[in-house]
Amino acid sequence: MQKKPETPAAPVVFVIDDDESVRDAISSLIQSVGLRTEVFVSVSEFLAHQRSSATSCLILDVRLPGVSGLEFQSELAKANAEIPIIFITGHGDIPMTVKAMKAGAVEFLTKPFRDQDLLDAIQVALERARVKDEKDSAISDLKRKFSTLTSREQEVMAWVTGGLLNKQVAAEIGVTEITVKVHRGNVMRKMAARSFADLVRMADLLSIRRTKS
Amino acid sequence: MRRRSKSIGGSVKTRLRKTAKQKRRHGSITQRRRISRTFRRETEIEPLTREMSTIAEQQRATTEVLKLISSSFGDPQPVFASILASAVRLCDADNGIIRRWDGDALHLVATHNIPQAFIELREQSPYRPLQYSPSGRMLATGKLVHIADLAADQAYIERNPPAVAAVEIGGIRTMLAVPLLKDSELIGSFVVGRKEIRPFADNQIEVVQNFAAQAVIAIQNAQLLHELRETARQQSAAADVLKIISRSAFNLQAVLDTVVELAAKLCDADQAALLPNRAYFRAFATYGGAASYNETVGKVVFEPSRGSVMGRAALEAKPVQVADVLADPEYTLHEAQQKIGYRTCLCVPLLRDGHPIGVISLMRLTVRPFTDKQIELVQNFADQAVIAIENTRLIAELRQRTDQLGRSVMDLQRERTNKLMNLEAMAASISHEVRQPLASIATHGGAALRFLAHAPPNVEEIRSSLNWMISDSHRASQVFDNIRALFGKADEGREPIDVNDLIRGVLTSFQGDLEEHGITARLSLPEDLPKITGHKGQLQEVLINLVSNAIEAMQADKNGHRVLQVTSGLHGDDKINLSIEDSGPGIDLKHAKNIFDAFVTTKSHGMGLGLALCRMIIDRHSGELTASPTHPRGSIFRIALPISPATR
Repeated sequence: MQKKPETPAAPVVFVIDDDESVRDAISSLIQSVGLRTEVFVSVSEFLAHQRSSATSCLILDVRLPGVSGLEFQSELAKANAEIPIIFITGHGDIPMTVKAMKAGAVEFLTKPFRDQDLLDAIQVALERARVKDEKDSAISDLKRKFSTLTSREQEVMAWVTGGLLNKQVAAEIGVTEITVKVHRGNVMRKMAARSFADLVRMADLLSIRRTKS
Repeated sequence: MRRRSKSIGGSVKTRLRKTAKQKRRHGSITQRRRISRTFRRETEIEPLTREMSTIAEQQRATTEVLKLISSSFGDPQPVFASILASAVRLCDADNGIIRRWDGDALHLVATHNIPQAFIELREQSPYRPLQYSPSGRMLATGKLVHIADLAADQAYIERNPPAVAAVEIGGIRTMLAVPLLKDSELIGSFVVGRKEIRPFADNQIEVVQNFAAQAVIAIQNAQLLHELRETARQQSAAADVLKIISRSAFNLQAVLDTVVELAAKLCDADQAALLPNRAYFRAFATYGGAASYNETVGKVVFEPSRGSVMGRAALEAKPVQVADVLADPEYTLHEAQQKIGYRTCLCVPLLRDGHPIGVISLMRLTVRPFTDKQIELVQNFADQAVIAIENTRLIAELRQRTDQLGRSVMDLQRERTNKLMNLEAMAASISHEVRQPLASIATHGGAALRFLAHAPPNVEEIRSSLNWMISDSHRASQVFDNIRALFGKADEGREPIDVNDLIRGVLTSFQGDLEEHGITARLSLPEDLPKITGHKGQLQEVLINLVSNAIEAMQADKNGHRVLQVTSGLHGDDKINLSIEDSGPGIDLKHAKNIFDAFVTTKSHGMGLGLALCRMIIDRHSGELTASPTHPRGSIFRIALPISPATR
């Protein structure tokens, strides 16, 4: 892999392990392939650190003092602050492996692992993170655009993407059909939808589609 | 001359006629002399004739009696009636009585022509004839007594009631009392009487004596048959008990119930009981008597004493019989006796190697001692009961031993499982300990190779990686050295240790870390604490681990102020307490016990022993390691170790 220029948006790999030499080794390895890395001793140290908007993933030892790796995983999920996790462990428990993978971990490696395995897992994790970040930013963009719609326009968008004809929408909200058509045009423009199908997709992402009850 | 005629009857007439003829021809003294000679012969002949017929009759009667004896299946009653009737008839008496003598009183056996009133009178109370009365004299001398007139006898004159009754109610005047002798032992009396005064002739007396002898034979026969029957019954009873014992080998109660019932029935007792010596067994059984009898018996304590028959049997370890408890001066169980009302009591001890382990007691409500044969039978039953009791005890013991064995096996298995779990824990923690440096080595190696591939290669990074790899290899190797040092020879290297010195040494080695992490160490170590005995290296490892854990716990928490509190002191009068307290996040009580489960976390200090191993080490020092949360925040680990006996 080529060395990428370090920019604020460059992806970063976080490492949490309480063994100093293991921390240093992993950090070294990541840097040797040109990725950014930051190391922490414990989960609380990590949480205390400010997270940038850069794409990131996390390499986490399953058993740490204080909160255990798996618990941390489920807490992140609950708080919707998910970040792709690669678990590493000095023990060999299989049940734990299964639990971690089912909860959505990218990979579960036992020490000593092959360095290539870890690097591959990092790639997968960063890709996952990128895709999610893109999706997240797309959604927040849509949300922003949606908030520029008037409330009537929002209503119209919800009904038409739900499958109602203009006529029906007019009846539903108590305006004329022509008014509906006008609103519809504004929606298309403000949402920057390229086609009606595009608008429907946006409505889906925003989860605002309404069908007749 | 006249021919001598053999036929007496026939010739008389002929002679008379001839004599009369001759008398007409001759008449004279000779003729008269011949007549008187004839008359003399007549008076001689008639009695002889009568005697012959009597003898014939006697023979007939005897034959009848003998036939009756042989066909009566041992029941002497009809025989006696027949004997008496024949005797009375043949000796020309009016009435007769046969009585049985048991050494104490005369008992009515059979009567003939005796008025009912007299019989009832005699039956009211046991008849103990006075010495000078006719029966009394007969009993005393063992010879027959012949009274011509009972009314003239001294007994009657003195208005002795039995004599008076005999004369006035029984209607007896002439009396002949013949003793019934069995091998010269007096067993009864055979009395015939006449309503008028007419003494018996010698031959009549002989007749009575003859029939008396037959009566004795009848009695003897009856007795023999009875004994035979008894023996057969006893044998079958013994067989019954043996059958029950073998069938219900585990049901001691059934056996004891059977023994008691059979003993009572066969020995003709009114009540029977089997009582235990509680030191050997607890079951008891009763037969006969009211329901309350069973309750009462259940409470009786079996012990040697002279106050009860049972007590005496226990004392003497052999059967003891008291014919009449009311007549026994040493008898003290008056309450029981009054409630139940027994008189004769027989107690047979159950003997095991000569020691009384219980007793069978038989009781009769009247005074009637048990025979030797009956006592022997009960002894038999007692022996069988002992066998059953012993069997039950042996079986119970066997069961107990088997259960104990089963439990020991379970205990051993549990211990083994525990040991295996400990070994597993140790193996897991060692494996973990070694994986850390190995991972570091492999990863540093990979990083170094990649840095080598850069253009130009990043030599600094490579060098750093190589250095790490070397130090990690040593770390890995150290794990094994530590293990060997730790678990080498268990009891070698035990020495007296001052706990305060030990903890001070450990804290000194952590000085750098404490400073680095801004942790304040507070020590509270009283002087002159007694020493403990132990393995210095192992205890040191435990302390290192606990301090290291504490530091880490506080490190994870960036706020507030970090204090490591170490305290030592005396605990009770035989233990030393040492506690290490941190101000970290504390222990979640939900996981409190889990922290002592195997697994370890890696440490840069020490071996990184898991708390499980720490606890194992403390256990082996006969101490205790516990953990709990503390207030306002943090965890406290407490170690308790016994003071070495020498320094106590």
